[in-house]
Amino acid sequence: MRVLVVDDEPDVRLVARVTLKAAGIEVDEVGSGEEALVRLADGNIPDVMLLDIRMPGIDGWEVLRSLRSNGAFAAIPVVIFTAHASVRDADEFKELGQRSYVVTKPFQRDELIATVQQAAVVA
Amino acid sequence: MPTSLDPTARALLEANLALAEDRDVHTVLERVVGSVRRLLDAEYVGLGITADEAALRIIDLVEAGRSPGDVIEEGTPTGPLARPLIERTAIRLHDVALTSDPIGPRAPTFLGLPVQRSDRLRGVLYVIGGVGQSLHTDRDVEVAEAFAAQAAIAIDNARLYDAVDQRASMSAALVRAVGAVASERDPEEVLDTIVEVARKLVDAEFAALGVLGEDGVLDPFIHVGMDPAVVQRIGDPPVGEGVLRAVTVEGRPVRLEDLTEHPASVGFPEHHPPMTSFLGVPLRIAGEVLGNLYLTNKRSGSEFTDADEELVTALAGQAAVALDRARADARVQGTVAQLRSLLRANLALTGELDPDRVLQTIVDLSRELVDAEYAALGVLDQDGEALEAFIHSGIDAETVGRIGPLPEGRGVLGAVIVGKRPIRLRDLADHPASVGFPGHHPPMSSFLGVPLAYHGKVLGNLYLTNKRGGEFTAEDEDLVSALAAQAAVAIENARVYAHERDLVERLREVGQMKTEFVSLVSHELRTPLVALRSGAELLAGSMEHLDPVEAGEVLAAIVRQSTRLQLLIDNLLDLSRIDQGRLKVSMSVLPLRAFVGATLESLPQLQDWDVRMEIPDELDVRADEFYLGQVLTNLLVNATNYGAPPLVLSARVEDDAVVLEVRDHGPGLDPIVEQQLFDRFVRGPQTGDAVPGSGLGLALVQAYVESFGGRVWYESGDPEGACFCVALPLPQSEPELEEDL
Repeated sequence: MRVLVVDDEPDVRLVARVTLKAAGIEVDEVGSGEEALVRLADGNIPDVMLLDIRMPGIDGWEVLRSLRSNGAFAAIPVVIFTAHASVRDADEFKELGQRSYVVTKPFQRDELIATVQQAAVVA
Repeated sequence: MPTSLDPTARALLEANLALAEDRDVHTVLERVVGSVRRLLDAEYVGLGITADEAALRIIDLVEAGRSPGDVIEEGTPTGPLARPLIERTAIRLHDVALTSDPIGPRAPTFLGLPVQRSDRLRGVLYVIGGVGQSLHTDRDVEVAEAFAAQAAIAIDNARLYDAVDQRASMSAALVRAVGAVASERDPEEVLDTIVEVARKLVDAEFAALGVLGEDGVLDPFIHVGMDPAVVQRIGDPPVGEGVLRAVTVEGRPVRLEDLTEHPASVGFPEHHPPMTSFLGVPLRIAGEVLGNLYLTNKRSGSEFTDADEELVTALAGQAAVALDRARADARVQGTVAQLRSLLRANLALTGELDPDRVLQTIVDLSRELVDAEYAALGVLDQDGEALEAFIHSGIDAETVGRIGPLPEGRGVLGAVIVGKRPIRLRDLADHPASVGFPGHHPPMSSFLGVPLAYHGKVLGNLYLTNKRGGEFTAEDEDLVSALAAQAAVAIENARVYAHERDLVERLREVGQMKTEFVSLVSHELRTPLVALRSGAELLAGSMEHLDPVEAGEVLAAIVRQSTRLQLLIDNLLDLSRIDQGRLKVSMSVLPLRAFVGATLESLPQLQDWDVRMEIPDELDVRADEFYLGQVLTNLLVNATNYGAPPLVLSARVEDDAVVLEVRDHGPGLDPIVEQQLFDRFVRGPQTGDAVPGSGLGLALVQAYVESFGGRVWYESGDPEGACFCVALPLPQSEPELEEDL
């Protein structure tokens, strides 16, 4: 399984990457929404996308909107990776997040791994 | 009646009976002339009634038969016809010329005798002709005298009746005049009635009533007895000079047989019909003369009588009462109008929140109420030194444009403000403080200025100029002062309101800043915590499963994020200290180039950057060493985060400061960000989490630099990049060193 970690904080990506790799999951990482979309357009389709919401430029919601409106990427399972525990109340989540998973930051190792694996399986 | 009586006695008796029965003088006199003609067998008998003793003028003539040449008529007789009147005795003549013309009409016989009683002349009786008669006999004369005596009694009786009648009609007229006054009709109508009644009662040709107005002009001026065409030819009503003035100034009646003989007589206007007899009385009430009532040319006599004067004085009294009441009514109505205006002003004030519109309403109302040509209101600024607003009324925009800048509130306007008292002038130029008015300003003469005072503080002034038809009155001053008080309240309210609104806005901003602060700080605190906590838990829970290199990386991240947290907390504490004025700086002289060099060395981010040091060797600055290091670090790190190489560091001396420039060649700043660059918690809209930062960096830079007595600002690069300039004090700019130089 291959996960694409999208987060603008390098140290957060680092900890997520080390956590997932220790569980045998392959990890790619990018630092912005723009880079994530470029990665997809280049044909690098991950099994799961771990997506930060609050990012400069194209934020997580925009990335999610792009995925959902594009047939080629609509099926990519997304785990929303956010510091905001109330993300499920956001209007954007109601619009775009129905088939998504949520992991709040700071995250617990087991929760992150379990959620990512579940997302991959259900998809 | 017995028929055996002597015809003469019988005729006399009949005449006497008629006298007793008939009050009409003409009936009696017709009997007299008829009887005389019959008894004396005369061709003509005429009985003339004279006007009075002195005039010897026949005003009424009763005739039987026809006089030769029809020479006996009303008017002043001449020749033999005048003799009985002059000589007061019977004149008997034979074949005589009846007029002074020798070839005029003649009478074969003429008998003329005065009609008198108690030696007072009443008229004249003429008997002419008689068939076959030569001279009238003594008996004829006796008969004529007997009838003349009857006629005298008849005339006296008739006059007595007339006098009684006249008294009655005078009383009726007076009653009418008094009634008109009492009925509270329109004062003009009352005065019309009085003039008419006066003329009729004293039998004058002209009558007029003048009310004293401004400058002694008689206005209104009501007159009767003159042809409208003549009135038009005469032109303006009299200004009340000459004899009319004597009446009003002296305040007592003037009665003249001939107007032109009075020493004050100034003659009468061109086209005015001649005036001889004159009676003028003042209209006075409570010692005040309000005008005059005068009559000229008494028709039934050569001059006005005591009774006329008494009567006209009574009528003038009524006229004065009517006028005084009209004036009192006008005053009451004026007061009511003022109250109504104030009420209107008050309504305008309470219904209007926009202070400018309130003041405009007050200016417009003031102008309208006191009937001034111009009005203006000046509002002093909070320091009370210059006008911050100037609202005017009555001058069109084009004229205002030509006049130029607003008045500075000097001269008389300044005197209103400084003196804190109203100023009322007949002519603005009369005031010692007058400085004239600007070119292109329409001329101003009469002036009323009142201060706008609130609790003893003068907030401005309200002034009016050029009252239409005169100068401003004490009532105008009261009214405008009341409106000025309203204006002062409006200004004060507007200021209090604006102050409150600013305060509320400021509080709202502070509240919003606090919310943003909490949101920002919590985010900034949480971000390093993510890696810290998740990393630490990872290491604690599954150290044995981790690749040792990766575990090391996680540890390094933990250290980095703890440092970041530390920095943020330090920044917050510094700001808090600055806010409370507790930041302690210790100033020293620092060699700028060396200091900047050392700071560059300490920043690993800049190791690979193209940095160009263009700071001269010899420049020293005064600053706190630690905090200047913070300033430089912040600016340099910002350049690496947001800008692009090359990074140019330069410095120059400008005035008493060294200006250090940190210039990069990146995209520069968004102009929106520029505005709030040094505000707290402000980060570029595109910044987000891409660049670590608290949103406090530049706020701190500014606070530090200012604590050194310096200044920091941003200039956009030319053509690209961002440039931060820091002005730091030169060591030489210390005051004591300056003195040594």
